[in-house]
Amino acid sequence: MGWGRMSREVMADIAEEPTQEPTKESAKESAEAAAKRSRTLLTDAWCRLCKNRLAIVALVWICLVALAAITAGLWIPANFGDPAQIDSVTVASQRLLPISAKHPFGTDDLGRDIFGRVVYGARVSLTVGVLATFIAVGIGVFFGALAGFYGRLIDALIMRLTDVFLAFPYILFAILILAIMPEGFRGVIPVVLAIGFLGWPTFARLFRGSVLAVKEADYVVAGRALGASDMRLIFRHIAPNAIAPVLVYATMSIGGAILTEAALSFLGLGVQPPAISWGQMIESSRGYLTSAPGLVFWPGLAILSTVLAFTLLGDGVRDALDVKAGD
Amino acid sequence: MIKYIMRRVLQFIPVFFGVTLALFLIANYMPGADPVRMRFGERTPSPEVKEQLVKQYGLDRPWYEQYGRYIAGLSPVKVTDGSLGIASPDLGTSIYTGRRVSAILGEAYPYTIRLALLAIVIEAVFGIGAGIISAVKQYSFWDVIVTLSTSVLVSLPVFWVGMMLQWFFGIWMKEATGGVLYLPISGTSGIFPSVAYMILPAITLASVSTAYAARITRSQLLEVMGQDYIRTARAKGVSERGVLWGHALKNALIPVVTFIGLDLGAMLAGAVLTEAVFNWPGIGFTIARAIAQRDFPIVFGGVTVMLFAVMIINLLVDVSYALLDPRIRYGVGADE
Amino acid sequence: MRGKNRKVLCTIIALGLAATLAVSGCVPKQSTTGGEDGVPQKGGIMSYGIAEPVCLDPYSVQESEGIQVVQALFDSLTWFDPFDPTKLLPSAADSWSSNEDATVWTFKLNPGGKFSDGAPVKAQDFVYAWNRVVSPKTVNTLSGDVDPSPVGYHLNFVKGYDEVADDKASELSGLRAIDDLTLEVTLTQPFADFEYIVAHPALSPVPKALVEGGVEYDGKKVPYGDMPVGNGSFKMAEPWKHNQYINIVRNDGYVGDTPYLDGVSFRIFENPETAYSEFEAGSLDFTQIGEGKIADAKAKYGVASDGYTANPGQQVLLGAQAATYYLILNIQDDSLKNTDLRRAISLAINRQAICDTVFEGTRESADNIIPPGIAGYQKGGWPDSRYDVEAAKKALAEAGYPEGNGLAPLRLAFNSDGGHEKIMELIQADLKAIGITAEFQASDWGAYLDQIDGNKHQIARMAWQSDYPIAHGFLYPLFDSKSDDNRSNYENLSVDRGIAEAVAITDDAARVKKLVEVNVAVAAETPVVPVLFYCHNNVASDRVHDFVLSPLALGYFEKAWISTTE
Repeated sequence: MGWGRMSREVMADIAEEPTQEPTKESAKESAEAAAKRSRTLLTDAWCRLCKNRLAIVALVWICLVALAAITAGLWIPANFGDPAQIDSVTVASQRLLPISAKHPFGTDDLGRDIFGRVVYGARVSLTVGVLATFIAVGIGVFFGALAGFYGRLIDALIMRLTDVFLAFPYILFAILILAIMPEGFRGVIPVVLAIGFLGWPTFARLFRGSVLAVKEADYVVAGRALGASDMRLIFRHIAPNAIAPVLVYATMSIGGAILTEAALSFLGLGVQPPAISWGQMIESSRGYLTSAPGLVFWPGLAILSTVLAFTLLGDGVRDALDVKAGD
Repeated sequence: MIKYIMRRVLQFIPVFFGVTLALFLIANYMPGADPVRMRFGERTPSPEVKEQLVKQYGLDRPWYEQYGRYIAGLSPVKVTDGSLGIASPDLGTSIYTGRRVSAILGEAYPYTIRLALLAIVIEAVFGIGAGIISAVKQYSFWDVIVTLSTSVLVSLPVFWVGMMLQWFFGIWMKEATGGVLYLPISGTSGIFPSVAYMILPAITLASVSTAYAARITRSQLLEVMGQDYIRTARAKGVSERGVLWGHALKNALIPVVTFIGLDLGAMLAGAVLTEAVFNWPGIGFTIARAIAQRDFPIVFGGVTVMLFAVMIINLLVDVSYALLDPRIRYGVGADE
Repeated sequence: MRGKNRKVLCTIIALGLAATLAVSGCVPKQSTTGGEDGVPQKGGIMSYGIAEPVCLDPYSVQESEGIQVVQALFDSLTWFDPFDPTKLLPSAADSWSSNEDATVWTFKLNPGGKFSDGAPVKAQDFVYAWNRVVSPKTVNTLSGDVDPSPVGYHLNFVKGYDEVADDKASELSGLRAIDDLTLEVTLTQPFADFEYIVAHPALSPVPKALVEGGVEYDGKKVPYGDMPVGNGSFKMAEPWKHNQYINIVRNDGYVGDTPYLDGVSFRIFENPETAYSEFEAGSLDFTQIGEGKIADAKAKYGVASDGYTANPGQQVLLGAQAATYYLILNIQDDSLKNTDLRRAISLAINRQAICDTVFEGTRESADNIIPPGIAGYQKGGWPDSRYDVEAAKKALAEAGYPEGNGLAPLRLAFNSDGGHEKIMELIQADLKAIGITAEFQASDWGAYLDQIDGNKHQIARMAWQSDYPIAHGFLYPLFDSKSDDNRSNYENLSVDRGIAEAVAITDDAARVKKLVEVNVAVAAETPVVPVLFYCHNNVASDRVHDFVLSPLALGYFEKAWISTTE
């Protein structure tokens, strides 16, 4: 339920401070200087991030998981067997084997190596996490920019729309969205679309708040006086200075999207076999909680470690960028 | 204040119509068997009976007409035989079971409320407690533990927590301790008349929120402790303990209470995952099942009741926020 | 979320809720139990875990939970022997007979039959009840709305059915109460199995006055659907507490032998896993065993020797049910119209592996579409319903696709909410082993039904349990070209003719023989792939004696008793 809960908390923050005052320095700067400043800001931020040991551990872990997922086809089948293949002749003797050198996490109820399946499962989780966040950021920034820049009726309409989205109980909304996907359209893509589609309102509000904060800054006013087009103003001058909170929240959102994907798969609405997802591995092992808890434990630990890495990295990015979001 | 409440209620109107309208559109375009078909299972229904049921539930009408009827049914003011009258809102009849939706929701809601209340207690006690400890002893060992564990908690898949708790307390502890520390895995009635059977689901439901409550308590308390009036109090010689309990906490807790209040609203909107893991027959479970059965009257009715419940709770939270916080009441600075 | 989405229909079992199983050789045998553990004692309430029934008013009862309760509250005209459902027993009817071509049936009611409120059961009560089942104008007493029964098809051979179903007449013309105790039924065509049809609980008698006026309870009127009054050996103790419990007590005014039990408390659970936890905690007397816990339960509670009767120390029931899990092969499909390809698919599936892994060795490989326990079942009756990789490869080559070359991937459709995934994964692997690529097409139950209704499927999983324990209940719906439930679109005029001839044969043995011939003809063309036979997966507590769960998965409380001394 990651996203629903997280977004409410972020919203509470934003609601309290809808219009951050632009800093004194920025008011004096020209538009070009602002762009340059954002570049040096990023460099500074990176240096600060490097000093945060937890965040670096998290980043390394994410890279490791991604690397394992990308290269899984090269080493998993050769060492641990094809994680999606079942042999009906030998399955009875190969199922529910305990942990051994050959099977670091044991085998599941259909005789497949759990370690191999967990590694393959990272493919779906990372894909969904990153793509869904991209979609949410894309839609959210677009509407947030519209609302913040043009204000008035457009703003009111978009904000009411976000109200409607946020009023829906999150998981139920996701279930409904997946239920109206066309017949036969199952798997990773609909899940990405559903999660991405549900994530935009928080980004829209975040970005709107940032836009409002920098809109009246001198360099923007100056740019407008010089006849810059709306598009140029938004993307050249406003966006670079308004993107920091979005970046922070997007990092955390990847973890949230991974949690949501796992939850939907657990409810039987996510990806379908032979594709492997951690949530689906847990779902199909529910009955073995008593006799073989490892079937549930390992994929859950994979979810926890990956999401935790994104949470810690998000915290690190937030501290590095000095953004107030999260807490 | 009255004006404020009025504005909030007015803001609710577009949200209400937006959500219900979206629901009707989704229901209208959902692929798959129609709600009536679901009643027959694998067996092909007889066309006459099906037609009769479709008519009975008005499913042969266009969606906007169905929507209009639904809103008319909800309205407490009704036109009967040409004259206006007051009647209780009508949520319609479940297509799958032929029972009144209000009766079905009436059975599910007590379960949801019970679970939400216990979860909120857990969240408040442990969240605020951990937050205070970690703020007071900032950068201590305990602060690190609290900060880290909140990060872990917000990263946990809820359903996995539920299952691991079931395994640990319901199975492993039962065997290892001979049943002393055993907590029933689930079960909604019977030999556990006490709250024992609710503990594991409530912990599961509260897990993520507790972490957020702790984080907010910590950051708020740290912020307040750095403010002028606290420094003044300290300068006047008030003890640290007195500063914390007498001055800081009161103001620091206001946003926390707000968060917990909003969270209660969210929990009343149903905890689909917790309810799914523990087979808890609450509102989230009921609506999720109704979606699978295409039993739209239950979905519409459930979401409608949920929207009103959340709105009322949020309103109460906002109003109490305004009453509690002197800065809002008086519109001046925080110093008392 | 598993399996909680819907109720298992009686007509057809959806594997979801019933993680069921079979022991070897589970042909029903007469139990030898009785007094081994002492003389039956009177008294005690047996608590029984079920899912929420959809309906307790007989007119609309169709799923196993509703039938279970209605069966205890009502007696229909005839009933099956709990151990051998092919044997019919008198129930509300003392005796019955038909004319020579089985078109006119006369039932003589038991003169002592009474509803639990004391009113005598008359032939008119059957006429009223049966018209309610068929009429599209029947009112559901719970909502007060018109809510026609989904099971009117039980009576579709009765004269006047079409007129009533189309709302052109209000009463079945073929139904006549000759006097208070004689019911005459005229059919539009010969149907020698009609005596089995009338055993269905949906065709129980109901008292018109109470249905329309409500039932008095605690000074208030309760809708009949919440407190049905019947003529069975039990009666409702209080109105149905939805999603919580249904309490029934012994009906002391019952015309037959009254039960030993004081009553049965049906405790309602969303999910069998929960019920099993309660059972393990000691607060339930009977329930289903959860997935993955069979071996543990067998060791702890002991297996019933006959598979059907629970007694202390023999508490786990694993007897075969009269239901088959199978794959539909859509013959209208360009690839699947090839009989050899269909045979290859059937021969490639390792059924035993599915039983051993997914069901912990407690289900049985299907070797026939008609399950054991039904007259007409023959061991190995479908010769291609076995695992033989070499024969499968050969059949695939004969079909023109040696090693699968040239064969487009086939779509394997199933509903994702019933725990079918693992079975399908094994089948997919088996097909891959001979060179057939099968792609999953999983959808939720509603979308799945839509797909099959719309004839958009290639291969699809299904399960079938006849409403009545007769071979006709399998052969007609699944293979007659006129049947709406023939999802394979199988069309064989000699099969149609054979079924029509068989139903007119009044001699039981000759009729079954004819149906077996039809079954053999169907088997040669493999329009479906039988995969598994369902079995019980239930367990009783150690204080329950002589409780029988029949092959139709219905509990018999009539002879059960509870030892109250601990």
